Amino acid sequence: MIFRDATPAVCIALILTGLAGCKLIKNASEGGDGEMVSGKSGGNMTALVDEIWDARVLPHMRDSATDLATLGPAIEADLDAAGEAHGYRPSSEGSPWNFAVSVKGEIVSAKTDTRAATADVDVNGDGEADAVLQLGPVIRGTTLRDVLPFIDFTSFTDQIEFAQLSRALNTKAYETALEGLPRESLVGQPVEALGAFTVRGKGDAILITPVEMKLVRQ
Amino acid sequence: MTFTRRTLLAGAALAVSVVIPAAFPAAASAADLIAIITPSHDNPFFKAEAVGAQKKAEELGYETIVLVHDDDPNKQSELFDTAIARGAKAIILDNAGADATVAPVKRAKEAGIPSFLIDREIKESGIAISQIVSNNYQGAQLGAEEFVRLMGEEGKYAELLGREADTNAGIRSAGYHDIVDQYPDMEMVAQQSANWSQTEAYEKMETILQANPDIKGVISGNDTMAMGAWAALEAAGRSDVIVVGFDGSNDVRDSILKGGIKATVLQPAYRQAELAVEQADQYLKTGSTGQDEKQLMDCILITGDNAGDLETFAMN
Repeated sequence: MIFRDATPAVCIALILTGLAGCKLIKNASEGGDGEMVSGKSGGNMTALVDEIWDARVLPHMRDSATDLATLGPAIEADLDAAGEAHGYRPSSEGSPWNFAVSVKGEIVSAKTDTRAATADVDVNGDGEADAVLQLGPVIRGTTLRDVLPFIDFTSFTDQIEFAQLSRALNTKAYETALEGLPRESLVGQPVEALGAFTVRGKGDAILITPVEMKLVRQ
Repeated sequence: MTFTRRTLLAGAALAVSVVIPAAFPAAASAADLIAIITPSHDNPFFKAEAVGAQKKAEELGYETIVLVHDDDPNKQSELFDTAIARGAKAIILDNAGADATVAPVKRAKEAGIPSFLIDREIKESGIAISQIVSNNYQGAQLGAEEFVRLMGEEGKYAELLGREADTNAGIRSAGYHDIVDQYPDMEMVAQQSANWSQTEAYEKMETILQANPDIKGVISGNDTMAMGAWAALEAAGRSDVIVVGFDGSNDVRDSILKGGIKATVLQPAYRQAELAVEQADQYLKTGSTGQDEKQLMDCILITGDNAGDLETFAMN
């Protein structure tokens, strides 16, 4: 269902009929799956994330993810070309590229003595880490929010609400994909994950926030 | 040309009372005026914005009028009347309050004058043409991650907050705490507003230090407060305390290079101001900026490793 030409009256009717915490305001201008997501003023971002996680976020991630074995070398060769082909970023100047990514590899080292726990993954079999998976509970960055083309800053009241949205997405990822994973004997385990990462400059480590992750020998 | 206050107000009343249709796209002529309104230039951050905007506007062939509202919404409102009365073609604004600024921006819009906001947001979209702000949340998280690392993930610390009416004060604090609060051994023993002010921060820091002599770190919502806190700590012989700021001022850069303050977060203020003028120019010429209204620009962590490359709110 496309809301491209939805009149204000239709929008209001939709809101009144109980799309709590979520309204549909316009068609995505680029690369989107339809309507933009917007917060109501003073809206509850956790409730908004609960609504869109299974319906919008996971399907978008699954549909748009590129295998890291392809993406890694592409980014290394030409970040902007890789971004145009596989990534998303808002049009404003200096916005970094965000990528949805699928990872299949082996954990070669892990750092679990910090609340910002991470696991290093080798995807090309050379024994060297190619990417870092965030395991939480401290999840850094706003990549899950920024990789979604149906979420834009103008649709939210202010940076505080926009930040709460990011935090709610990270929390959802932790609760649904990461909290239940073991923290011991990670090294040597084959792993599969779906997630996102942001590249701010050439040579940045690939720090992935997973939305789905499984240890194959769990 | 000199205006008396009376003629200014009369001009303002006239401009407001006449219904002027939405801004007509028109080529810039030498006479076209851009008004640049910011907080006081006492803070070098705002001065950098004003200079960046003014230089870019003059480069693009505009005349400029540079005004300061001193974070007083009433004064800001009067300055908008001035800009309207002077027939400004566009207003570049770092505003005096997220709520209080909605009305004057609306008034300018009704008078056919588009506003391009930098640094601080307002509470409504659809009134200004652009709102270009630093990604304060991303920047605050960078600063907080470095702060936690420097603290060894544990210890007592204080937070200095900015002015409450400014969204940026809240968002930076939220960004700090989203990181720091997830470390259970980081203990905040004081959290006080010093209203972005160096002298207030000095006084607040003295008091905090008396009540909490075992403090290990201070995270500050901006660089001027970080400078005030650092001066108080030095005066008390406590240069062991870890201080992290926000803005990327030359003062804090110099302190970092001397081993004083440990880190700050650079907001690309100079570029932001230039960009606002470029978008104003494009809007006046074509009727569109080609950008979303609200635009975030990433911040950069500044430590001893890269402080040498920082100059007037830009990396060389």
